[in-house]
Amino acid sequence: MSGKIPKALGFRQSQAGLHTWTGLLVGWILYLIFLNGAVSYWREEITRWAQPEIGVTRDVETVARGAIAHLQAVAPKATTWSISLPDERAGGATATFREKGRPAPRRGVDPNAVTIGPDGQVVTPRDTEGGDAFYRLHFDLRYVPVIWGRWIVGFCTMFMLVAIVSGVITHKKIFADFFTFRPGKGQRSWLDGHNALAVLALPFHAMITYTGLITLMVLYVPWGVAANYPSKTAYYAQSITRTKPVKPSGEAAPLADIGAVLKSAERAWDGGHAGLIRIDAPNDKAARIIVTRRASDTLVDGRWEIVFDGVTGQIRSQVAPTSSGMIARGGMVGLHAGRFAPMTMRWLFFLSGLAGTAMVATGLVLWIAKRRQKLADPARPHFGFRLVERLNIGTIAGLPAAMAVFLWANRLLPLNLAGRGDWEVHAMFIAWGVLLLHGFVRPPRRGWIEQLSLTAGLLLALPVFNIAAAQHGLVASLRSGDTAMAVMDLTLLALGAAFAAMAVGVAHHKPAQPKARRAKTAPVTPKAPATPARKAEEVEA
Amino acid sequence: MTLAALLLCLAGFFALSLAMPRHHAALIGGPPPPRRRLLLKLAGWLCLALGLVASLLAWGLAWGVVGWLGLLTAAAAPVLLAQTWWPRARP
Repeated sequence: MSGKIPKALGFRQSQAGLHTWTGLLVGWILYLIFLNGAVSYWREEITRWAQPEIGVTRDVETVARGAIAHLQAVAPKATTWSISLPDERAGGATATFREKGRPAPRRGVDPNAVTIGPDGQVVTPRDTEGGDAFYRLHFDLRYVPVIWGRWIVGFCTMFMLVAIVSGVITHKKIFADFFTFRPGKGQRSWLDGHNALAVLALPFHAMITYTGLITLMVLYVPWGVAANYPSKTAYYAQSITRTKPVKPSGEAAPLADIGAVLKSAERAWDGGHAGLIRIDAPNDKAARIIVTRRASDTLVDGRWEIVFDGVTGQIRSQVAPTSSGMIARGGMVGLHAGRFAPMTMRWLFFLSGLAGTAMVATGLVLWIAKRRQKLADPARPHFGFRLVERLNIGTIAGLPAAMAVFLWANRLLPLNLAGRGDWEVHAMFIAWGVLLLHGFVRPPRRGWIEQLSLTAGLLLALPVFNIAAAQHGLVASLRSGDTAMAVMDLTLLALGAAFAAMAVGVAHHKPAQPKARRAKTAPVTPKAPATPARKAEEVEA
Repeated sequence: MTLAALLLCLAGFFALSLAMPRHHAALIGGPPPPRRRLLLKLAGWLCLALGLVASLLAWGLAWGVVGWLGLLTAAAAPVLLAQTWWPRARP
């Protein structure tokens, strides 16, 4: 590819070039997006794991009653109360209130907000972003303005879409090679692996990339809105309307029973669940209770709302997604985020996401594997080769290690540290920065082994630490029936084992002989071996 | 029903892989006779189709298709691994 350009490229060859370079240019960011996206399917579980103080919610009504009791005690005259209810996957509820003339802080911690535990009592969990850290990183990146992050992610996603289409065109024998993997054959094996990861999960890759663009379509393609609405605010006002707050009458009246209200909402939604309760003018005759449906309830991500009379508990009005355009978009957003997904499907989404991560990783390694033989002087590769090879180490092996450092920071940072939640994230990025640097200064082979071993060690040691040092270890979780907590620890062990297998694979690999070892279980595979012969390299990549 | 769907997809892909000369040769020996090849193909596609039906029964119309595509991925991967390492493990 880097050699002379033939006079006339065939269609497939031109697509191969397109695929190689669109994939390479944004590959490292795509790896970050894919990995954090896959992990974000467990956003709620990770948050629960990161806040072991809260415990598992079994009865939502108890939590809602506890939240209201708390708000009655601290802010009976507030203009608005809000309670976000947990679902089966989340921990506690958040209760907060707003008083007249005191808007919510634009950023940072809301001083009015408290967390309500499963027993309905206020708990003080450690300050952490939990799963949200990975979720936000997936589409906002970090340390750049959010809007920039989204544009960068959108740009890379568009490249991903191009890479998927051109990759399918480039693939010579998509059906003949469907079940083919030939290990121990150097570049051939990397290509087989890359193809298998791409083809077997192709519906997922295509869906996730396309729907990913749809989630932020108003940002990326603003002209439809610009042509039809005087301003963006006007568009949002019509498409994402909020129920207007009521004016208090000044006449006191007791609040309707929240248990009855929640049951009534469930009936109206055919067994759907409440996700958010907003109470306007509580303890006033004009009070309103606005119940919003849980995002995980329906495939269509949209606004379902019921407005109740705050005193009688009667239904006043209802909102459900109606516009077919909004339903189509909501369906795609719902599909992308998998909020609706039942547990089995959530695992399939997660594993497909890991397959996508590994697809990007094998593609990046393949770029190196293909070019290694072509090097004029293998001892002194050219700058581009070195850059890609070193970035591969610090990203493919380094990023997972940094994410594990985040989880370690969550366990180790002092609970009273100011800005603790932020420091967990800083720790992740400091670790990643160090590992990127490490990838550049160490010999590549040593770099791979050391970083893969580090990732494995960090992941494997976490559940052990939880058993030894925290009262929320695997044994305790299993005993108390806290499945999510236990499965998270077990998943960390499995991922750690996979990285350990990769580290061993690289360590045992003999670069002189064209015999590559490839960890079967590994979601991401290690460094490429030298290859004896390259055939048809223009066409396949 | 989810498990049934997964098993059907697994069986379907395994039959389809055996219908391919390369994998037939590796596991059974020689190219598949035309009649067997046709039967394997038919059986394979039928199992995948029944897997879709089972998915729809398990998850309903909208999610069933999504789940089926996910199961296809989950089922194809072990078949690929089996076709890679099974022939090698045999004497």
